[in-house]
Amino acid sequence: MTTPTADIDALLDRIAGGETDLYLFVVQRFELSLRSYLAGQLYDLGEADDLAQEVFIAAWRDLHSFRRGEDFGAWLRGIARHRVLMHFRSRKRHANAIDRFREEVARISQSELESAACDDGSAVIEQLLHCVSRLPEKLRRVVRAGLDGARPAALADELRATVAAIYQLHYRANQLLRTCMQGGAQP
Amino acid sequence: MNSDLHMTPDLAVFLQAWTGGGPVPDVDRERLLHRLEDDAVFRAECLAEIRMLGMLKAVQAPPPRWLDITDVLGVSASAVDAAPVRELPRAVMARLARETIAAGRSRRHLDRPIAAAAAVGIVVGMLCTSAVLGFATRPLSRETMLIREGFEEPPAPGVTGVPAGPGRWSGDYSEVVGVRQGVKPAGGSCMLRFQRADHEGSPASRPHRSGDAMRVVDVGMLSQSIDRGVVMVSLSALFNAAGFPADERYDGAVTIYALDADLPLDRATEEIVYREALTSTTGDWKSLDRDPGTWQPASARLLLPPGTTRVLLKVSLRRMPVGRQGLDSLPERVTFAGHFIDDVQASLVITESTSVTQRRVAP
Repeated sequence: MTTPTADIDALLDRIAGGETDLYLFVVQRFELSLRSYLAGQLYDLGEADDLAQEVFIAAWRDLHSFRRGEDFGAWLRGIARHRVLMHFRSRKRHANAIDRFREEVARISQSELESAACDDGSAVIEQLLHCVSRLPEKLRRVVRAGLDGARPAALADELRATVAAIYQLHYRANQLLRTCMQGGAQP
Repeated sequence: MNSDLHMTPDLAVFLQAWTGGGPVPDVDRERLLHRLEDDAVFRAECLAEIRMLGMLKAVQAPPPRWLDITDVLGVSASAVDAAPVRELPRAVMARLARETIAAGRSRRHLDRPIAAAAAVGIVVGMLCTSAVLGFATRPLSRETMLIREGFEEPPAPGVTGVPAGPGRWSGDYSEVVGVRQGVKPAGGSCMLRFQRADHEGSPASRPHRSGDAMRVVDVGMLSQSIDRGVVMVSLSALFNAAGFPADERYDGAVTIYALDADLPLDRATEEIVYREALTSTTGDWKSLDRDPGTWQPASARLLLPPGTTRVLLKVSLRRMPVGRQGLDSLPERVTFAGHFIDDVQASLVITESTSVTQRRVAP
């Protein structure tokens, strides 16, 4: 779900009129969708959050160039796209195989990620929390643990499973979550 | 799109390469990237997964504190006071709240639950009034600070494991200290130093590699809101370490457990809490750097399930193996030479007007 452009325009008008602290409300309104978009390319949430902050600051400094009536979330993602590329470039000298792989994936899939993100408003993403809470216990544990680095191995150890099984469980959970988010059968 | 509940082999390898969860040979990476460019169906499958992983990452962690943004905006330091963004715009929220109340009496009934929330903690965020701005997707919500702990006041945390009840920190061996080993408290003059990864009465039969500080908060008075599925708890803490050897690694994280009234905490161990909790979540583990000048945040948030009457908040520091070494390379009882936590904050957000499940969800 997207924020009605008229509403965000009205808010931006108030900000332009001097109520600068209202920009924090804009941040609050768009943070979840922007952080999700960035985490879907970087996976490291710390890096995604740092970039999200940079994007919001860049947007603030360039707010006069945002054309009223357009999609503010898409405008933010445009700034984010550029920042993601810069981020990968800045790390190039020290990048490991995972970073290089993510960079290539982001490059190849940029336009499709952008189109998909149009539907990922905050309310849709927040719905995920409810869907996660309804997953079967084992799947919920896998989803909450995440797939970063050593986590699948640690979880596999706890659940007496293989790492491949953890990935499979997460995949299954993701399918159930998508169904739940589309208003289908509960997981 | 693959409708089977089993991943194709290439998708499995793709996810391992992307998440870093397993060794993937360079040749496989190259092959997958070529396939990603050439095969639209495969690309759609991969993107569906990484988008979901990104959303799960973001939605399960609270937003960062946005301190750089408030600097740029020039929000006054006194108003900000290094608090999370939901607390930051107090003046903004207060103004919006006034506008909302002035706009109509229909929302006045929302003041009533604030009294209940205030009994749990101090109401710090008044109203997130999207309605006044015309947003349909962010209904009225309220943030209540549960804990803001800087370890400035006694008593020091107990060292007997899981706290027997609300109101006091307890966990593994720790001590409250001032400036120590080049590390200054994040705020005030005190911080908590982890000493060991075990506590009084720890069973000798299992390894102890994680030092924990825990606190229980009673949320029973919010049971009606909790049962409606509209109460979210957030927890954050700051971690720091004095320099430690290159062949050692330490990670910090926070965990939230939702507990019902049936679990007797006075006899509970962490294993029992883990097993009996209605649900729980652990935020990202943050690997600590060796710079005593930087405090590193870790956070998590949890939607409380119906039946929750208490939450157990846990701040953990664990030693991890380095490189390809396994857990068995670590000592059975880990000690901490110079590892600290400070500024532990817990809050809850109650979304009052429309439950998330009632919101329209895009197809």
